[in-house]
Amino acid sequence: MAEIEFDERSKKLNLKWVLFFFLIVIIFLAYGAFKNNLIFTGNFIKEEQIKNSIKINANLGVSEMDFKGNYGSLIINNPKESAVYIGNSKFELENNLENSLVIENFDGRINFDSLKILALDGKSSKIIINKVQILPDSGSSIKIRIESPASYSSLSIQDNFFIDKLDYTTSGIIELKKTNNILTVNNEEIVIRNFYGNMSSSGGKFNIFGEVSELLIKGNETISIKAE
Amino acid sequence: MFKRSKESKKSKALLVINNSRKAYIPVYIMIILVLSIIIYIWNNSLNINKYSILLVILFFIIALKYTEIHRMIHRWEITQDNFIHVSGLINKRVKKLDFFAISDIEVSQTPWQRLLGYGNINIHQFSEVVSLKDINHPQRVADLLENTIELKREKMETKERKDTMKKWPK
Repeated sequence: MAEIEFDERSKKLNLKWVLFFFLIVIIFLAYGAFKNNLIFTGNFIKEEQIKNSIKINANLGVSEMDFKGNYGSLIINNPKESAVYIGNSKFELENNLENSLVIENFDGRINFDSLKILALDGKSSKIIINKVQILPDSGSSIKIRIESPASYSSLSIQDNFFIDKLDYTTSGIIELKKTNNILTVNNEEIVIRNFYGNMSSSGGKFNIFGEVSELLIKGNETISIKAE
Repeated sequence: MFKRSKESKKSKALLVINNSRKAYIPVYIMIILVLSIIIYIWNNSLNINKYSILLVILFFIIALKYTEIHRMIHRWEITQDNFIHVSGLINKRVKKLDFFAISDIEVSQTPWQRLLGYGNINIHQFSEVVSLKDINHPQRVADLLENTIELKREKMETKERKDTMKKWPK
């Protein structure tokens, strides 16, 4: 017996396909949110972290870093080859000048590698560009972003710098105060959890100085150090 | 035949039927889940990569096509003379089922459909079965359809009887 379905949905787009697509979306969202190793966000466990931590001072190599959060101050020395938009104003970063950019109470995203700041986008309560102070016209914050990737000589984030997880392969030296150990990392994967402190990037070196709750080095041998 | 279709053109719809939104509940739940995850990610300043955003937009388009647009596109009408399926939004397609061609009407409901009060109607027409899926109150619709068919048949029989009486020699 022939069957005619006025409802053509079952032939073209049935619920199984919608469900399949839904699962793909969920997997992508979850993967993007939780598995992207170089995206570090959130301040929610900061207090817990301070109570329960190991002091660390690490000089490592710079991979492409992407940080998002609310930081005390972001200092960039000698940014060049781009322009900065602060509010509605554009400031050219002249190549022949020793530019400096200080962003206080920065709330936003910074993406950089060893040579360039690839993205900078957020808001701040006070910006000092080449010793000129810029305050918000109205409200408590002013928007800031860079037009295109800008080279820099050094950048640092001081006060309130928090990373929930940093996971990448690098080389360098990690000094731990808890065990008074100096660990040399040679092209090995490191995992740092719940770091709170300061960070700087200069001359291809990435320095973090502060406290962590856990450090994992995955090389020939796996070293795991956790705060008690 | 021509006369009948002309009549049916004039006849008003006794009932206009659309797909039940209850049938789309799983898709609505999926949409709510995706939105909740996005809000969670947003509130916790987690990362959403551009591919995820594209996928989410695509998912919403597919979900919209599967639910609301599908509902807008398909409509059934019961008139005094026939049963009509209207499909399309810009390009319209109208398909009519003559009442005289309908031999049987069957209502089927899964436990989930019974719980929510919707179901499917299968209209048997000679060797074919026409299925109306996910209709609210399918039993009531089937009853109305049966009554309308019965009424139409009675009318035709009365008319035929009258015609025969007229032809009968006095």
